[in-house]
Amino acid sequence: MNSPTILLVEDDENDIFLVRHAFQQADVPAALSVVRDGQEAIEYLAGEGQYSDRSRYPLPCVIILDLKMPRIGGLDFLTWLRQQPDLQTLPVIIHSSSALEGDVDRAYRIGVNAFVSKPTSVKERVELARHIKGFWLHFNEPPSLCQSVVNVPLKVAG
Amino acid sequence: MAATSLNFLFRTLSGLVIFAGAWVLGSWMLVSPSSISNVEPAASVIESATGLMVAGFSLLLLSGGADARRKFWRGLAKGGALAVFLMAVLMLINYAASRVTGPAQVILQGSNPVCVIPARDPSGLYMALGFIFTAIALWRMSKPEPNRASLVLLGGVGVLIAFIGVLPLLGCVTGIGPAQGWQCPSLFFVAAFGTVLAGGSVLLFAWRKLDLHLTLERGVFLSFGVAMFFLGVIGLTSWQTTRQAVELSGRIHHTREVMDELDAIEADLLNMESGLRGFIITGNEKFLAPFAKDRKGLQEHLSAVQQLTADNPDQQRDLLILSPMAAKRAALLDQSIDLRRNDSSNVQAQIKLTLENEMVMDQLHAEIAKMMHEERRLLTERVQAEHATADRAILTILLGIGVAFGISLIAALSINRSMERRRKAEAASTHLAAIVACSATAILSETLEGVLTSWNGEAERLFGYTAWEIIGQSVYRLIPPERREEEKQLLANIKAGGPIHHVETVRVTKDGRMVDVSLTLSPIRAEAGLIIGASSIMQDISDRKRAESALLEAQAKLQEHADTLETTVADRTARLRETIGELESFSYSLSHDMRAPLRSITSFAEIAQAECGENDAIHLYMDKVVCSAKRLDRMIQDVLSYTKISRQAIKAEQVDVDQLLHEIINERSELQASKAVVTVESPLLPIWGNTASLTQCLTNLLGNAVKFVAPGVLPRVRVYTEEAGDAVRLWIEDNGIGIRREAQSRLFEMFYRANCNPTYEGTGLGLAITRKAVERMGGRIGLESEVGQGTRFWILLPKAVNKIRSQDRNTYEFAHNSSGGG
Repeated sequence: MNSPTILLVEDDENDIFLVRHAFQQADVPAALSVVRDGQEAIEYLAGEGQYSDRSRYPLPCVIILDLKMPRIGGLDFLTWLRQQPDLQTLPVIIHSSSALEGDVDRAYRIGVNAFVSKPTSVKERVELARHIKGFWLHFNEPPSLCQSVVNVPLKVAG
Repeated sequence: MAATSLNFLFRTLSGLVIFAGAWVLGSWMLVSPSSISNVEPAASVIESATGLMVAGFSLLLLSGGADARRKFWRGLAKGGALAVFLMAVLMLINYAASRVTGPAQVILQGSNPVCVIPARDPSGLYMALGFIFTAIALWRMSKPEPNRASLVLLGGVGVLIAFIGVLPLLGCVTGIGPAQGWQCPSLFFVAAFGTVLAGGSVLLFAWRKLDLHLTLERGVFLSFGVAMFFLGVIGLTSWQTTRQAVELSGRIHHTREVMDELDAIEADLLNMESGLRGFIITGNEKFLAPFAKDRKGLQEHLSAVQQLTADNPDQQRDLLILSPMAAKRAALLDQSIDLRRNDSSNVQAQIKLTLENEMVMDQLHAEIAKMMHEERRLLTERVQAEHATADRAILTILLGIGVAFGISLIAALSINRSMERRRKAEAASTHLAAIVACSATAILSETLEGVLTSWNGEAERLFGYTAWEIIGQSVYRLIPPERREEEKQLLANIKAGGPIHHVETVRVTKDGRMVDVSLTLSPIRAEAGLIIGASSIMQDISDRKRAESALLEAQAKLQEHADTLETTVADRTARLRETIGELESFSYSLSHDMRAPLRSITSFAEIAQAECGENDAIHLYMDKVVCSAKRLDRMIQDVLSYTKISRQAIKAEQVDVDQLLHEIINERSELQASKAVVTVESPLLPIWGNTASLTQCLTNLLGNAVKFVAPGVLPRVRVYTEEAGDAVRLWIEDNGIGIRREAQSRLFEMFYRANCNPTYEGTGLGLAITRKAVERMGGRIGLESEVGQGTRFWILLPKAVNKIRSQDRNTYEFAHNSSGGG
């Protein structure tokens, strides 16, 4: 399994479906792992519980993060992530339905790598998927963590 | 004295001056010159009389009158002054020349010149001097508007004139003048008196013009002084004349005695001779019987005359001749007797003796007659003097009584007048006292030591003390102990002369109740202006005080309520803000959350569309779904932007409207040249606002401008700015369908749509957002529109203070510059 993994943190089934659909349409060469909220995302990254099998649930090279979610929200998860010495370099793209200035700035301050409003039409979604493929999977140099993800188990701070 | 009574007095005195002149002239003319010459030798009668009358008339002329004629009267008075002066000069000439000159000479021609004896009598000189000063005074008085100093001088001249008149009068009546050879004719008395009156008139004139005031007491004092002076003069005169009369009558008696003695001497001589003759003829000794007695009597009478005429050297001298002569006669008679006895026949010798005897007898007769004549002359002289003295005394007394009576009368009148005034004042003060007594204000008076001296009815009511109880008591009974110092201070102020107005203080009543009073104190002055006490007016202000405190309480309560209200308002405002914030955040979340399913709807519909092929009916339905969802989404977006505009902090900056418009026009397809003609009258004035907000406004307004046009019409929009004081008004003018007048006022409300025609799509939020944005930038928005005539929206925003680009004002259309379109 050489294709990289993208972790989608999203609670809305429709959005999950639409992101998948767009990724298919745009032929994104990455596996899309999905967790339903921040808590699950933490568990996934920490390799806890059902996510302890890194071969099934490899570390992602990009995290696409929604903001409004039950239990642990997007910004809280981001805050947690940036405090993890082993994980803090992971690129995170916020994919939110709101682009309130306060939220945007807060997200950047905490250390987000990109902030994208959820597109309204399918066309735009596909376009966004293409951009992600082109930019994040092709042009962008990922942090070293992502290159040795596959087989290296990680210790995650609790 | 009042000015009118002074004027009356002045006129009366002037009239009396004329009367004195008339008296002199009349007396002189009516009484026969001979009798005047015998009894009243007059000095310069005509001049005196004329001068007095002219002076009197002139004074009358100056006593006042109509203003228009006053000048004329003054002129006449001036002439009078000159005439008086002329009279004085004539009298001086008379005095110097000791004879009649001038008009008197003409008039007196042919009459007995003795009647006017202008001898060097000082009385004439005094009259002349008096007239000179009178003339000067008249001249001065006839000049208009004399100043104070000259009036004082005039008064002095008046006194001088009166003094000049009084001086010879006093001289004459006291007998000092006559003793120095003054003639003191009675007419002169009248003339001198006239002069005194003239002086008085002048003094009065000056007095009146100076407007001096005499107090009643001084007036009484002055009047009594003058009256007493005249009474003194009368008394002195009476005493003097009585003394003179007594002396004269003694002398007359003395003269009569001398004459009786002389008669007796002659009788004795005759008796002796007739006895002798009887004896010689008859030889009978019986005839010689009284001879010895007569001879003895002769000696006695001779010695008596010698004694009586001891004061008269002439008579003594005559007596020295008479006595030897009588002795010689007695001797001759003895010789005749001896001859008859011894040699009765010797007739020759007897005849010789008889002849000699006759001769001596004649001499004796002559001598006695001479002495008798001397005594008779003395008698006549003394009787005359007695008559003159009596006349003078009567005149002086009459005049004195007249003057004293006149002055007393004037004084009485003036005192009466003053008394009348005083009575009126007293009546007024009684009136005031009545007012004080029934006044609704407590009025009382106290001495500087605080002893109460008066107490009115209201004071009685207010404090509960009757006047009888409290007068004479200390005012401190009315003052609560803690206020005593205050009262002392007030009395000290009164002592210093200052009245005290409306001091609010507290007094205590008889039953110990405290009363709030407003106190006004004013000094009471004695006649000399010395402050002897204070009158105090007290008003019961308890009601007012109560009202004031009630008001204060009410105010405090009100303040309290206001404070509470303020707190409540602040609380509620805070809560309201909180609620609004919550609401905003709620509506935001709501809108936000609503968009997610909408997006899904759109996306799924699109996916369905993509999968079912274009000809399928489902494709069309999905199209409808997407359209509806998109409209809903736009609406939500608008609500979001409205909320955002309301919530977001706005940063003020200078906005380049030209640039902004350029960008907007380029961005929006509906504003492109193919669809609309947007004309920007560049350069637009720079505005002080917020770029993002203004972008939203302009986008909305331009969108509206091109949207609401009649079908088939090419939208034309004109954008320009104009200065409006410190602000800039940005106009966006279109050729659209216009807005109904009744819709205009509601146009900026949320969700209000002026046009319900489905052709013109919209959410009803565009203008609400625009107005909000403008307001957040501190501006205003408005419009002018007529249906079918297009609409002109304006935005008024603060002007940017710095530079306006110095570029030439040129008009260009964005459509031509824009890259898009075509």
